[in-house]
Amino acid sequence: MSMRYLFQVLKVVGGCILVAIIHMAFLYLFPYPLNKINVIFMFLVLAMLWTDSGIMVWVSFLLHFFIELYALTPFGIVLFSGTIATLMLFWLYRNVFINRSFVAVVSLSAAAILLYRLLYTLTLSIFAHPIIVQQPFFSLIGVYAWEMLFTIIGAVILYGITYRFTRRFDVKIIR
Amino acid sequence: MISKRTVALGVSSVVVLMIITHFIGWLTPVEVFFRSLINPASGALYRTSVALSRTAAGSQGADCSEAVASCLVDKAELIRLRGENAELRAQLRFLSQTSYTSVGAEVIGRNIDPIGTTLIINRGMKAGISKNNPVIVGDGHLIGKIARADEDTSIVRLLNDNASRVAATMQNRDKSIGLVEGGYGLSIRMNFIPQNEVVNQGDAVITSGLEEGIPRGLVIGTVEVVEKTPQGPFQEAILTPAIDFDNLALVSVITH
Repeated sequence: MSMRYLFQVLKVVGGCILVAIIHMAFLYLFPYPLNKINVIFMFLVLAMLWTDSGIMVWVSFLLHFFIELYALTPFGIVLFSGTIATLMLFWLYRNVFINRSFVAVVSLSAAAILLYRLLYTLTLSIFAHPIIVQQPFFSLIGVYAWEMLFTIIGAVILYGITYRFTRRFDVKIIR
Repeated sequence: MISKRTVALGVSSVVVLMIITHFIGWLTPVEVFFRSLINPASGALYRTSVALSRTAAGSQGADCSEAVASCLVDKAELIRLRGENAELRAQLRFLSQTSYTSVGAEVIGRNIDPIGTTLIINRGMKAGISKNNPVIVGDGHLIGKIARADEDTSIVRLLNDNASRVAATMQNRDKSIGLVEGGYGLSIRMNFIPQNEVVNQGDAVITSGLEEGIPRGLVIGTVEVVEKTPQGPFQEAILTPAIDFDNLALVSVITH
């Protein structure tokens, strides 16, 4: 029983490392603005729909911890913003966007980036970090907008593939 | 049924606890462990991105048959190795002529943050690197400063980053002193040059040595355009950097 639990934990940690590496791959290999896609939230939204479980908040915690290891911002900004944004996203999923559909995927992806970047910008502003303070407002909005756009597109494509090739999101079966 | 407030408090507490353990230093072994797992992948991805950009620049219009594709891969690897060899020789030549203590490092990644122009290198505090150490390539060309130093990795803020500031001097008749600032990852400009001093296109800009930890004489770039306003006390110069920041593979950090 404990070995089985250990394997589950190792599987989750290994999966999170893989998602973090894929996120880096998009950052390094794709040109601007395609490299602004947030693979982590793309994965979290789809995983939330797939598992229908609040455990995704802790998966988000782990994922953002890995990203925190390479971030220029003070330790904790990315971790706090990412984890709390995922928690709020889960509440939205459970209480507002309660169905599994393309509309829900688009809405959740947009909400995820909005909540994450709002918390990220607010916490950085509180600490008056130069990465935010010296950045013009419209330039910041532009970067976030690209991130939202490509994350939504990526999530929709992945959801479409999952919908097409699996039965998990098939409405006929769920009914 | 656990209330939302309790859940939010619980999650926030765990996050805060994690942050506290990081700043105490208890989390360091965990961070080092996970970086040791992710760094090789990050380095491989970064090298691939540099090789792709070099190959694309050198082989436009090439035929895409299988044999040629294989040759392109070998060519990319050869170009990468030649580049690294030349870079290491240049850095060795420069550092052997000075009394600086330095640490060589490999670039293993680029900025994770959405805003900011940074590089990730595979050396950190364990190798003697600390915040604000200058980072050079080639024959003493400054590319940036250490913005964050962890146990085994560091983050370099490049000169063209918005938050980058370096005290500099121009090699013109007046030996103008000013501040070199980055602009949104695209440009570098030297500000606060007195209006009455003569600045010409092509004048070289180097570090002034007036900033703690940054020695004098590290090359920053050359003047491309001079911008003056008649009423203002200062003029600005837009600089062309000496180095292409997109294809850096090996750097040296001056630690002393």
